[in-house]
Amino acid sequence: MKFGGRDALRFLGVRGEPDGALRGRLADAAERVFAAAAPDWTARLLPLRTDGDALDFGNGTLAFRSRDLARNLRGCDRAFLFAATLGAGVDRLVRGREAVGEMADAALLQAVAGEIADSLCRDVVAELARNPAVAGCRLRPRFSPGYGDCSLSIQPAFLAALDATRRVGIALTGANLMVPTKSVTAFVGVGQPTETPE
Amino acid sequence: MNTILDLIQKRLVFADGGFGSLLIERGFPGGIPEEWNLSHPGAVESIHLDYYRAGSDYVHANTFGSNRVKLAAEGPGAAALAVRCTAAGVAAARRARHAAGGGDRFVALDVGPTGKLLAPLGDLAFEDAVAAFAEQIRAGADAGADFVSIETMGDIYELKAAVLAAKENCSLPVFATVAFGTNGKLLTGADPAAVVALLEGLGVDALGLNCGLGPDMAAPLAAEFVRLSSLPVIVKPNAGLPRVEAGRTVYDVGPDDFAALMTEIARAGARVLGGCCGTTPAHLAALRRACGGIAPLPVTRKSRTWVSCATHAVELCDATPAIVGERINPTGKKRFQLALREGDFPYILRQGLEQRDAGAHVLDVNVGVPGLDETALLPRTVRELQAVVDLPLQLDTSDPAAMEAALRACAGKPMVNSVSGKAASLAAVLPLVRKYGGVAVGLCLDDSGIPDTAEGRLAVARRIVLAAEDAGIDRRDIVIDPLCLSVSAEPRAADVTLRAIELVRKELGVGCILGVSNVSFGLPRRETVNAAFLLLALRAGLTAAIVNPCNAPVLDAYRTYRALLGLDPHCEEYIRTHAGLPPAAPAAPIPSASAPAQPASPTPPADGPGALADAVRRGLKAEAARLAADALAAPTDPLALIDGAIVPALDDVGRQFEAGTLYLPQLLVAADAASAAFEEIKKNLAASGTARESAGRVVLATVKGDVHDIGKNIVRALLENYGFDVLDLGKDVPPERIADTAARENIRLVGLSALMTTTVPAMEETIRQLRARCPDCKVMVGGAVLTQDCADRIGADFYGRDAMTSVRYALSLFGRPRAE
Repeated sequence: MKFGGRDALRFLGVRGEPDGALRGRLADAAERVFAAAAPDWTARLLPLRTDGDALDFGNGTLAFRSRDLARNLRGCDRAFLFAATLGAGVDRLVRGREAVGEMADAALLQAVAGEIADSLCRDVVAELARNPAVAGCRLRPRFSPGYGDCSLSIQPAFLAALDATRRVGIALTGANLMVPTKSVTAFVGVGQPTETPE
Repeated sequence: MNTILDLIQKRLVFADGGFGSLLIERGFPGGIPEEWNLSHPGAVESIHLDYYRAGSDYVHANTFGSNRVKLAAEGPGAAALAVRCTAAGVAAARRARHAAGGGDRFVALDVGPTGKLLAPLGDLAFEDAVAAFAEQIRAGADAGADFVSIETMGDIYELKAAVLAAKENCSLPVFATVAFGTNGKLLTGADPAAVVALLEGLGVDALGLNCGLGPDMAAPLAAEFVRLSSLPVIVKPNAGLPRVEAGRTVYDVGPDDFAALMTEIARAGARVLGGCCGTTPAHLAALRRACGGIAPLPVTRKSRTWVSCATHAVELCDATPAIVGERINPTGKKRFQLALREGDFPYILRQGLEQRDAGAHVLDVNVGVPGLDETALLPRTVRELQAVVDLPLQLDTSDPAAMEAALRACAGKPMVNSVSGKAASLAAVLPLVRKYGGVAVGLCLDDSGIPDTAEGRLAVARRIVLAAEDAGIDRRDIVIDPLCLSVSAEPRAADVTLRAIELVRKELGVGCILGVSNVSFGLPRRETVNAAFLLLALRAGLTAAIVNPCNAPVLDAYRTYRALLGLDPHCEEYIRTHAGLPPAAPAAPIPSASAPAQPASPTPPADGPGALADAVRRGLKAEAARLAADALAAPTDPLALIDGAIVPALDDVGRQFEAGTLYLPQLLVAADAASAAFEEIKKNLAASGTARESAGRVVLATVKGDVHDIGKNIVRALLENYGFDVLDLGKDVPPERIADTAARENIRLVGLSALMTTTVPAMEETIRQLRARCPDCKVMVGGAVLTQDCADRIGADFYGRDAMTSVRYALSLFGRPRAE
């Protein structure tokens, strides 16, 4: 996991170059997020059957319709499902600062944690690409439930398929949002070995 | 016939192993495993039978996930389904038991986690978790389970909910095991000592670990459990760490290797052995062969006194007497009383954090203010504190109902302050300590008051200890407070107290605690007296001191004492403290608040309102607080300070933010600095019994279904700076509650926040209900997902594209009472 600060600044709405003080605060926030984080992830490679916008992962393990995801996965007959999280410690860190009224610090930590969670996902995808089972295949850009017309209502089945609650501690709220909040679920399609880069 | 507890006294006991993969072998296609108790009871029964035949003394019924929360996806029938699956699961295991020949074979009701995260991190309320487990446990007990086995828990708080539910809904023995990660901690951060302290306090019959790790990594944790616990230790690891192979999860440790590793765990003192994921009847058969002949080590009582929070335990002992921070207490503190009346929890939490950072090991929590409902306020304060400050708590109230509510809410084993030698007190408090666990603070006073002599106090202490033992509380869970009067009023006061400490330690073998600062009442330079008295009391045998840890002479005395007596190896803590390095606190450091947010303006005025405004503009928090305090001491009219310095500075920063020359981080550090200045003003106003005029009352909420609330919290912080009274309803708030509050409180402005597209319908519904209930109330909306179009479509009055525009809208609506 890396932290450069560009995305965090974007999340905070900062345009242009930040001043030295803000840079210092970002670096300090990143240090504390790294210290509080217990990054973990789990993944499965599942066979994929598609029929129009109907998708079926793992022969019925997870089946639903999504036009946008079907477009992302066109030509794939396998896909990784992964779930990654920075862990509950980061939520506790942010909440703790909010709870004592340190809003500036809380907002900064929140933005920094967002960028670091993204970086964790890039690491996960890089690791998946090294899996011998997909050697020579091109991976599609990751696609998360909630993007486009892919409904968050698939989240319970998605997490169940990975046993993610027990393995990495990701739970869902009543509205199918993930807690710890700095968690990501995503599909990564596996293209054919012969596929040429687009 | 033996019970499972009889058996455990006599020899090693063998549990069963993994279940899911065996179910798949029998054709389970995925879905809810517990439904097979209804649809394929024969298959379920056959797995149990295989385990009994392999040598299991007990099996876990297939009820791990049969609770209504876990089955919530099944809709309104979830509760009924949970009950049916539970009953059928226990019945299947009982049939297998019968088929195996009955006798000393047992059936455990298996209780696994709900799969939800408890509040405050998640959205499952503690009492809802208790209710879900209670329903499952009643069904399992009715169906004839021999005992309850709570398994695979990853969160101390959920573990407590399950054990409480078992204790309150059946009279069966309770076993409880938790799942550690490879870092030796639970998912929510607890270490073995925190688990043992909580579970022993709640009165389980056996405890330990399952799942998570293979036997090699479980071994050191198992040894730690044996070292810490006075109960039989259960160890049920996986067959190694899981690995995914061709889409299937596989475990690498075969039966013989598993059994060989488990032999070491048995020799180290574990009493109950079994397996979890990836283990099979073959593993159990090998385990029984390998360990069946091992004579178990005796289970020994440990006499150490522990309290705990959600992450760790603190021992009250001679080597490290506990510092109990006394500052969360409104007695004689007007600012604190105001915070409690206003529900200003940030103020209270800051007291907790400051004490932790100063070196407190435990925090005393007292929120008794005349006219406030302690039964609601104490548990609320406990929940707020434990979400932010990772220290064990000392619950301090004389109201037994408030004490019980706080004991339920506490995510650990707290200190219970207090019980006295009075009959009524013993009768009210001891049963609570017995039920919920805790270390009781026994005060040496009874119906005839505080005895004058050390011997008299010892006599009261003895009565308390004996009464506690009669109530089923181990005497290690009692500490005695011999009490101390002021030496200025009673010349022998300190001497009597010190001798009482010595007597109690020697005669009763329990620890001692003392509120140290009473002794100096009425004397000048009290901290000198307190520090000296603390040293004497520690030398006499004090194991916990109730002090203000932010008072340097007192903490210096404590650290010096430990260094001098060789209790601080290599004087490490002493040197670290005095070298100005941060102490090794378990939590993240508090960031420096002094870094300027923007380049300093040319030459800021050194003092007065101009300097204060400048400090706010630059986000210099400590500076802003100091300048405000100085100005108030001058004295300056607090309201003039607000209107003449703070609000203009905020306005200035706000304008730059709107113009795009400053960004959110700078806006927020300025807001924080303003808050620090307001805090000083509040103190001043509280002391004089006046208050800042309200700019208006605003309700804020993140709508139902959304847990992201930082945007709303930023708006709240800014509105408060501008003098608005904000009723913050929190996150995931149902439309009815928002409309009810607005109607009841006659609110003119409601602010709603949503981050997710999926929660916009909830926002729309909230607006609909607000329109119906309070037609005159304006609604402003904001959040990442919203746009002006969207806000118009759902019928909002105003779209706040950022925090500042929301403040401007509120000001325009209410008119600005002062300033500018």
